[in-house]
This record gives sequence, C-alpha cells and structure tokens, in this order.
Amino acid sequence: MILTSAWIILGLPLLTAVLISLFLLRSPKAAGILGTAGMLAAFALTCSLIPQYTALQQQGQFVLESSLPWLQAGTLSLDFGVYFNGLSLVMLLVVTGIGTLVFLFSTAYMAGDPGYSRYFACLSFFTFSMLGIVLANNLIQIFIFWELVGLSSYLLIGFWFEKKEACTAAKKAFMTTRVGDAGMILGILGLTGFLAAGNTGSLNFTAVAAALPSLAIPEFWMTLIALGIFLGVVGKSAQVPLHVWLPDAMEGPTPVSALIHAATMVAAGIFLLARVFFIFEASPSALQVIAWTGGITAFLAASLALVQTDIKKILAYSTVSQLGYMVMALGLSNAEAGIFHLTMHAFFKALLFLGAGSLIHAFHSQNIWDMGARVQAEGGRFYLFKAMPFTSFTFLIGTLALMGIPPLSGFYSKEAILAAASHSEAPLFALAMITVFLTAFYNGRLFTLVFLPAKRSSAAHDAHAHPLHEGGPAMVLPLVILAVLSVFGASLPVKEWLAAAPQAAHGAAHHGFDSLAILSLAAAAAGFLLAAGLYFKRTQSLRQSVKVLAAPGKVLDRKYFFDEVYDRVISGGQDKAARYADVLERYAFVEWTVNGLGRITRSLGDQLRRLQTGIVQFYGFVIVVGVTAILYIFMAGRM
Amino acid sequence: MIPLTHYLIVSGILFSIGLLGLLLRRNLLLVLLSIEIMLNAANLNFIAGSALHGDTGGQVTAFFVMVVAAAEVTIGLAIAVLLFRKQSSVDTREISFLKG
Repeated sequence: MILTSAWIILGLPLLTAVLISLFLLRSPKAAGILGTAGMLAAFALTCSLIPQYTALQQQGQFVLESSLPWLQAGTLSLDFGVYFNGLSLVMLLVVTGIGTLVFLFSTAYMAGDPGYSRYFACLSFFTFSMLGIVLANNLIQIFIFWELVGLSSYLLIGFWFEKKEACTAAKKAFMTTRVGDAGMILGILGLTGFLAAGNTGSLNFTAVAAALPSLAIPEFWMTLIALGIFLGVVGKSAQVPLHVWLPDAMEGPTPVSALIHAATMVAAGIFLLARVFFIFEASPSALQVIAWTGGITAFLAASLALVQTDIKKILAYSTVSQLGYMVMALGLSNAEAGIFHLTMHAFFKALLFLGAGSLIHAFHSQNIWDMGARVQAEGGRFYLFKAMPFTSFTFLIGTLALMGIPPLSGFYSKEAILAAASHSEAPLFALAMITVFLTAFYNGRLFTLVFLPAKRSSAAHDAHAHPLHEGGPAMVLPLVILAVLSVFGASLPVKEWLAAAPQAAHGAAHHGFDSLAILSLAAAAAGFLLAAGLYFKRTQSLRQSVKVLAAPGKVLDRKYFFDEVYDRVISGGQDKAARYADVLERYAFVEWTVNGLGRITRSLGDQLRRLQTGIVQFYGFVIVVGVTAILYIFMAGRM
Repeated sequence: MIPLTHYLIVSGILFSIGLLGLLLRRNLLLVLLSIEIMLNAANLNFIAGSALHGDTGGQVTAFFVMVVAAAEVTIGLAIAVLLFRKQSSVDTREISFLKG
C-alpha cells in the first residue's frame, strides 16, 4: 500500500507537467490550478503514509522496496524501483509540502507572466525529478534523476531567457554541477567495478550495502570512490569550491529560488550523502574531507553574505552556509542531525525566500539599500510592520529561526550539529561557532536595513509610487504556514521517522540549555546586536566610514576571487585547449582527412573519366585485347 | 578428305578479317557485315568439328547461330536506320553518346 502510494506520488508531478505542456500552454489559469492541485494531492498522499509507516516501524519493518527489472547486461542488472524508508518519508514531506506552498505562492507571484504555463510545467517537472531522487532504489536511477534535476533547474533559472544574465546563470549552474556529476559517475563506475569483481551485479542500495563489507576494497580506492560521489554532492549542494553557481541562480523567479534552496536541488546533495552513507562510512579519510569541506563552506559563504546588497544573494549565501553545516554534520557521521537541519532549514529558508519574493513584489527592487531608502521615505522605522504585517512578522520569524534562537526550529537542528562538531577537532568547531556569529550578523544587517531604517524627512518621497502592500492571500498563506512550521517544526517527530532500527524512546530532541547552547546563543545575539547597532542609523555602506574594512570588504566583494580564478582557468586553459582542438579538427580531421579523401576520389574519377570515349569500337578493341591477354595467361601454361 | 587443319586455318583467317573489320571500319553497315563474317567463321568450325566426329550436334548449333545472327542483323540494321535518321550519318566515330 505504501509502495503503491509512493509510485503515485512519483508519477503525479510528471503527469501534471505533461498535461500542462500538452494541453494547457494557452490557459495559464488552469495550468496554475492543475499544478498546485497535483502537488497538493501528492502532499496529501505523503501525509497519509505517515501513520502507515509508523505502524510498520512498530512491527520492526523499516525498509520497503519495489522494483522492476530494467536492463540486463552480462552479470549487471539494473532495476527501476522505489525504495521507501524513514529518510524517504521525511524528504517526501519536505519536497511535496514546500512544493505545494511554492506552487501556491507562484500562482500570485507569476501572475501575468507570458510564460506562466511553461513555468508551472517546469516546476512540476523539477519536483518530479527531485521525487525521483528521493525514491530511487539504485545508484544509476538516482544518477538519472540527479541529471534531470540539473536539467530542470537549468530550465527554471533561465526561465526569463530573454535576460542575458539569466541565460548565463542557467548555463553556469548547469556546467558547474556537471563538473561534480563527472566525479559522481566515475565514483559509481569504480564501485560497480569492485562489485562486479565480487560477483554482485546489482546496484540497488540494499545489495550494495550488503556486499560492501565483504568486498575488502583497498582503503585508497574506497576513499577515491567516496570522494568521487561526494564531488557530485559538492556540485549539487553548492559546497566550496563549486558553490559559485548558487548565488547566480538568483536570476530565476524568486519562488524557484525558494524551491531550489529549500526543498529540491541543493537538498538532493545532502540526501544523497545520507542515502549512501554506508559508502562514506567505509572510508574515514573521505569523511574527514567531507566534514572540513562543510565547515569551510559554512564559514566562507557566511562571510560572503556580509557584503551583498541584493536580498536574494544574501539569502543564497546563507543557504550555502547552512548547507555547509549539513555536510559537516554528515561528515561527522551524524546523518540524523544533518537531515534534521535540512528539514528545519527547508521551512525557514523557504519562508525567507517567499518573504523576499513578497518584498520584491512590493518594492520592485532587490537591493536592500533601495528598500531601506523607500521605507525611510514612506514612514521610517516599523512602517513596514504596518504596511506589510504578514511579510514583516513572518520574515522576522524566519530570520530568528535561521540564527538559531530558541525556541524556534532552527535552534534545535543547529544545536545538534554544533554538538556533533564540539566532539570533533577544535578548529572545525571554532569555524562552526564563528559561522553562528556571522550568520547572526548578516541577518541583523539585512533586517535592520530593510525593516528598521529611521524616518528621514529629507529622503525623496516619490508620491507616484504605489503604496507598499501585501501580495494577496495566495502569497500570504504560504508565508503564514511556513512561519508556523519554522516555530514549531522542531516538535515534528522527524528523528523518530528517521530511526532505522528499533530504539528506546529517548528525550534527546530537547536537551535543555547546556553550556554549548549558551555559547552559540551568545554568539548569535552578539552578531545580531552588533549588526543592528552598526546599521541602525546608517544610510550608506559601513566601509565608507570605517576605512579599516575597505580591504577585506574588497576581497569579499570579489567573492574570494573564485569567479575570477575560474574565469582565468577557463579562458587560459579550457578556451585555449578548445582553440587548439578547433584548429586540429578543422585542418587535420576535416580539411586533410575528410576533404582530402574526397579530393583524391574526385581527381581519380576525373582521370578515369577520360577512358570512357563513348566510341564503341574502342570498347571492342579493349575487350579483344583483354580476352587475348586472359587467353594467353591461361593457355601459356598448357603449351 | 580435306584435313581439319585447313578448315581451322580458313576459319581463323575469316575470323581475323571480321575482327579487323569490326574494329577498324567506319561504316556501321560494314561493321555489322564484319560481325556476320566472324559468326560464319565460328560456324565453319562447328561444321568441321561435326564432320570429324560424325556428330550432328555441330550442325544443329550452326543453325542456331544463323538464327541468332539473323535476329542480330535485324536489330543492328534497325539501329543503323534510326541513327541515320537522327544524325544523317552512319560513321562510328560520330556515335559517342556514352562519352564520359
């Protein structure tokens, strides 16, 4: 029963995507309703799975699997199936739940866009791809859907393809994740090789997990395989050094950003880490690399968020940073904490993005300084709380949850990760702690600048501008639901669902205020208050008055030179290689080989053509000479 | 009894005359005649062989060859007439439609 529902959940978004793109391209309203209804149905089905699954858990059954044979090649057999366990359940809830809210929000946000139907078709397809990853039961299937997620994110980031930046960003996202995917497929192939050597022809997770201990893969190769697969995660989940695509991906419509950041694309990487964790567990050195990658990403991205002026980019770097936390948790062998944070993060980050979408909808600008100036002109401090109460209050909740303030959901999940970090190497824990401070600081900056600027009579007041207002019920409702989830999300029994083995009930979800919590809370409060104090009366960038910050500010502005180094490498290495390859192909292959052969044939034909005189007697003469010669050759031996 | 060699020599001479005519004559009608001569040279061989072995098979074959020759001449002459109508000449040098 669960498996049937899982197949249906997987199929529903695909069905709506196909229906919309076949029949509803000219009727946007119906497309929006159908897309949202499809997601809502999938979400309702997923919710109906909860009691069924918990009942099975009580009976000691944790994994359900149904698969169809797909390919047979020698000893290798590939399946296409559905693998359902607690992890799948949690991810299904996140994807379909957040998906439904994003669809609902989009019906208002995208209203009037000429590509409205196409948008919903792509969005449905995106969700389908993500659900495919969540439910896949083998490595190849997960890779296929992995690529489909890449494709559909390309379609959505470049949704406004008439904008050049959107095109470039879409291409960048696609190419950057492709670098990671190359590593991933190499890792899978390497693993397949060792499995084949051990006479395991199946790539199903259960089969691989069962066979792995008996294979005795050398340490070196195991690390290589694990790091290869991890490279795919680095690309998809935007970890350093492949994080560069995520901030650029803000060129897409804001609800898409919310979906990418909260539920689908970047979550895919974390999910994969958790799904095939048994592979990483086999290699301690790979785990160490993973933990450090996560920690460094968390820190670097949080520091980059300090100087951004685009509200969506701040949130984007914040996502990268939070993903770093999750990856770090998984690297520290605490998959549960990672997935827990993924779920909580999905709530408050979707909330923040949709809130940002609501602000952008009202301000027609993404720049926080512009927004602040507008608020100053309109009515100053707390004006927004009156003009757009839902957006403002929910945004505040999202901000507090992101900073990890109790009793909001972000506090519990972040504490779990920090607790894991505190048991590991000290520098890693320090990185995590500094990131808490930085997170609070950039959140404080964003919030103070947009929501709390002082009223200034001198500020130019544009009387013709529309008054700031909320975007209607379809935009407000998702915000409120997500805000509620951000507050109470931590009391969802996520950890109980995730449990893969029977365990005694423990009250670990709430571990009270220990010294760790106080430390992180102090860091967060210090960050937020410092930012609020620094930006409370400010109308221009901090750097212009405090000269010391100019130099590090410049480094951050240029994003630690990642983009420039990549540009340099690409123009210096790849472009040059492409040019040589182009010359090689143009001359060596096309001009000399292909055209050369053609020319030789043609000139040969030209010469031979002259033999055909058209005079029959000449042909007769040739025949006579030929027959005589043949006769002579055959007779000569006899005489 | 004339020995077989004489027949073969006469037939060889006839064949060579025919072959040279075929290759060198410019007039299409004479080319056709040359072919007839070659066919008859072959017929002479058949008859000589038939007489030597006392076997009528050779004679029968000679008749067949005559029939085929008659048919061939009919077609050949028809082609010659058509060619003459088309370009008022039966010179073989001027017939070169197959020139590449």
